[in-house]
Amino acid sequence: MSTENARPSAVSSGPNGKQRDSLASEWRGFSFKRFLVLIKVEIYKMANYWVIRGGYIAMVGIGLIAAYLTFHIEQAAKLTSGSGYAFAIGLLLRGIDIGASIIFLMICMIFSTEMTFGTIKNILSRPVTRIEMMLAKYITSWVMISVAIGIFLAIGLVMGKYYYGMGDLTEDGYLLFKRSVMFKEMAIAMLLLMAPFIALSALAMMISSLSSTMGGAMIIGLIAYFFFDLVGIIPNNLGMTVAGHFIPYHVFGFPILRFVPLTILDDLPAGLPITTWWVADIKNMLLVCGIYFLVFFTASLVIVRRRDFTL
Amino acid sequence: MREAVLEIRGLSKKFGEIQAVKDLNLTIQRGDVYGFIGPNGAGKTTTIRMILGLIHADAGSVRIFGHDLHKDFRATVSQVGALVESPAFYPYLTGYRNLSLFGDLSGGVDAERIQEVLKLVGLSRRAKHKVKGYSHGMKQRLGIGLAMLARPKLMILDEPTNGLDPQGIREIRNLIREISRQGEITIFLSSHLLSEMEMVTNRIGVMSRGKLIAEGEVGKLLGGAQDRVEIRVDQELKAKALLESKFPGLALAVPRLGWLEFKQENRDLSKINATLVQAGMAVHSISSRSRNLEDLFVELTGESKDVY
Repeated sequence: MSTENARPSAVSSGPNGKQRDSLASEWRGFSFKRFLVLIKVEIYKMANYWVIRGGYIAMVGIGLIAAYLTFHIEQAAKLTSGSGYAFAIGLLLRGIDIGASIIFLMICMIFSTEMTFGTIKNILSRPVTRIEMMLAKYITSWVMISVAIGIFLAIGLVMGKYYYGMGDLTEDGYLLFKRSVMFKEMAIAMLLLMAPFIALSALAMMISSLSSTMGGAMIIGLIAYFFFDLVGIIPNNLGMTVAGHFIPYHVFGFPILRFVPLTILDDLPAGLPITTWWVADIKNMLLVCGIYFLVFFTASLVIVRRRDFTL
Repeated sequence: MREAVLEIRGLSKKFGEIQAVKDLNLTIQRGDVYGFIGPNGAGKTTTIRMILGLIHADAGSVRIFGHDLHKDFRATVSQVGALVESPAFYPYLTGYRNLSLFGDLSGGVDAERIQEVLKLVGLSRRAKHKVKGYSHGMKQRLGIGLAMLARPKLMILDEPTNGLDPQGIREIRNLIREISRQGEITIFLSSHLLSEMEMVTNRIGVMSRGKLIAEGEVGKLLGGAQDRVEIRVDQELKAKALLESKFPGLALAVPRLGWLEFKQENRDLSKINATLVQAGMAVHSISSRSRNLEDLFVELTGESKDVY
């Protein structure tokens, strides 16, 4: 009746005694088609969650109110943006300022909702590895960021066109830039704008992967977001010298770097051409955001791989 | 010997100082309906989570249909359908949509299969309603539906009847019987409803304090057991004291008010009856019954209410 608990001939344990799948096993049997399905499922879940929808509705509301107020404040002060492009870029700057914290909190939910609802056990008891799941969630977060930026850009362009028009950029009848040039430069700026947001998404995902509840993820997320955001406004002359190089503290505040592409773009409606985007500020932004992304991204994957899901 | 569907060797897990599972060895063969029982905190759910890879084992191995869980996760898990403890769904989506999303992750699940499963678990009419409006029993049904959705070869059900009404319990019991009768699906079932387990399982394993303390075919485990005698009597505590003094070694228990119970052990029941009657106690009935799974469970794990 009693069992004979014979020891197995070989027991393999990972570091600190725990057994884990090898990294190679994560990719054994990987199917790109199934990965696309996983991304589709992730996007569907987020798109249908009322909190996420609420976040986007809030962004639309903020964008519309900001557009209305900006125009009427300009009118009252007898100032004008001068062109629909300047109006759109100005609105995008304001929208990105506020919208970043909203999208950050929304990304904090991507993983933590699975913990709150307990659905993580349903996902991981399917042929979906932990890294695969996280990568799908990362891609979902980038789609969410694109939608958020798209909302502010769309409102800026539509309202800019409504108030000032959106033809070729001219001054006193002289052509400054053709419309196609304006849109091309704006598109490049939007692509570059993704860099700080991708770094932000990694921070949000790391916090989310550490949390057991959505509320916890959002509270810790808010604290982390405002910490890094505040670090970004430290004056340039404060910093440290490493191996002869002066590193200002403000570069550690990577969320503030989201304004870099837009401030460069902001010169364009004034008639100043952008000869190259490959300037020191952009290089610095990409470097700092790239480092932050790698650190947070790696940490989030390690956390999820090592975690025991006892829901 | 039938094919081994699930092989667990030397599985161990510690949470801090608590040894949740220790050196567990288990083999489940094709067609088994294996009952996994044990008191709260015995390590049943931890074991199930380790089988599914939700928890990392400190040591040991899990093989499903010959595939090692740690080396070939996808091939292993793709053959398993599971309901782990309480069912979990996206409350803002409908029951149908929840199954559809998880079905997409499993692959090979079409709309027809989802409808079929919803019908099997009795949720066809509520399929288009959001899960947040479901009762616990309905979520439980949906959880069972999710476990069987991708036509798994091994179903792991942790407390599948939890929260169900008597009719629901009966339906799930019949469903498990029906699935096992077809012989294609092996079922690993954990439950506290021992009477249910006795009715549907062919083999059981008893866990206590992280160890498997007994395992075997239900019939064999209960077969060697002695019958139990139940006496319905007034003043059961007084009667217990009297019988214990007159019949040394007689292990009496009071299972409920007005009842005494002890192992048959070839005792002369007429003498016991006479002793009680002569002491002026009214004996309403004396009957014997076979030992059931609950008796075995209590014998093996004790009456302690402490959670380990």
